[in-house]
Amino acid sequence: MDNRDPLSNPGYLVRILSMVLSAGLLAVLIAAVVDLGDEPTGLTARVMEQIDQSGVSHPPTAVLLNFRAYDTWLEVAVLLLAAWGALALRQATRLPEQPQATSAGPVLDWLVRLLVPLLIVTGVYLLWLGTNAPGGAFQAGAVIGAALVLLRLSGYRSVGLLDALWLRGSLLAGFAGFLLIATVLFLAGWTFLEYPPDQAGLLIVIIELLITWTVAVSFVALFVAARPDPDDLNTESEGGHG
Amino acid sequence: MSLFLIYALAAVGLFAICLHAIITRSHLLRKILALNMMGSSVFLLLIAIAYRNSVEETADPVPHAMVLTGIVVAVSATAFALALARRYHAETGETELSDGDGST
Amino acid sequence: MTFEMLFDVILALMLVWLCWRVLAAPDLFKAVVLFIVYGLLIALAFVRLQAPDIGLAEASIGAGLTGALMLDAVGQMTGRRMPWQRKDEPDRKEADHGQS
Repeated sequence: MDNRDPLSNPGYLVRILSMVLSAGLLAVLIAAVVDLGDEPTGLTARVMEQIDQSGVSHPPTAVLLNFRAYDTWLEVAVLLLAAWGALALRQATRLPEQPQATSAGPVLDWLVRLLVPLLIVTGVYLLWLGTNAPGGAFQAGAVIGAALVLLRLSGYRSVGLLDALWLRGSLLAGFAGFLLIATVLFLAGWTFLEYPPDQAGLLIVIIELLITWTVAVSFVALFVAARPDPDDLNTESEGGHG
Repeated sequence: MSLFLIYALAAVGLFAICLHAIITRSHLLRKILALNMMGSSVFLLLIAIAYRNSVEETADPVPHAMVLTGIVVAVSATAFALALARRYHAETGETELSDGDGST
Repeated sequence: MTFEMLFDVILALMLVWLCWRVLAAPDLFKAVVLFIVYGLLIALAFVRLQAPDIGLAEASIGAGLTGALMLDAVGQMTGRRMPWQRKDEPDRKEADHGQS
């Protein structure tokens, strides 16, 4: 198997049928899009009406963490399931250790040392910015996760090596924190996932912090869990090809 | 032709191309790439609709929040699909799914 | 047609063309590189449509993280050695060769 994918196609009949199907769908979709017209119909005005009660001033953050908090909560659940699934597939309860790179090289080393603190500061800044300007927990988590992945790839092998409890705890933090806050408020008499307007800003920042950490660790887990161990490789090349 | 229409038409075009590719390409990685790009075409359409719905220079935040959620869900699904594909490859040495009769 | 609209039309056409190239390029490695370019251009389109924060998320997650995951998977499933892999790591290209 070389690097070329032969584009092996399943026969002419399937190809033509698929082309007809896709073209038909394309025609219907074009008609639908043209039919939509240019008149605004969305919920912009309603969101802007309610935004004072949400605790934040940036509309997408208000929608994400207040008006449509359910979506965000379940999204964190999806992220958790994906990370768990990826870890389960390599039958690991902790992240594998990165094999030592032979020589990172002075330029890469210098660049990584310069970039990683910068990335982490950028991540925290994005998180803080999210309450009143473009930015937010997911972007911040992605940037911090990228910094950790970069560190691991450039030979700092112990980065992100959490033990099983810490790894599971970090993956769970966003989901569980969200649930905990919602449950406490529910018991205090509010609707599930509704915040009291006075404390909404503070609660949103706490939830965003937890989500940022969960997103960062999940991304590292998704990235690292997918890579096979050198030890695994040896057993695979003997047993897996039988 | 408005900005909305340009990007919305591009989005539906991308969707159709990716659908065709998911059916006809047999390499698993190619299917995963197509699925991921299909997702981003939907995001493009939603963002275009949010732009269309903007009131006083503020784009509709509801589709924005949906897309932000969607991007994270898409990367989770892609990463999990890749983990499955890699495990499958490690177990069988194949890069394509068999038809179920043992041959590929 | 204004200059800005011309830019948007070209960007939209490039997205469609790149999408086709990703799915039709014979070399999977090249396909993934084009996929990353596609992700960045979609992020640019989001910025054009007044969604700079979504563009940021798409560029970092959609293009960056997904691209890195894809490159890694291509490396494993095709036996190509990636720059960050050890030189003395067993070359799986030959082991896989018998399978194809």
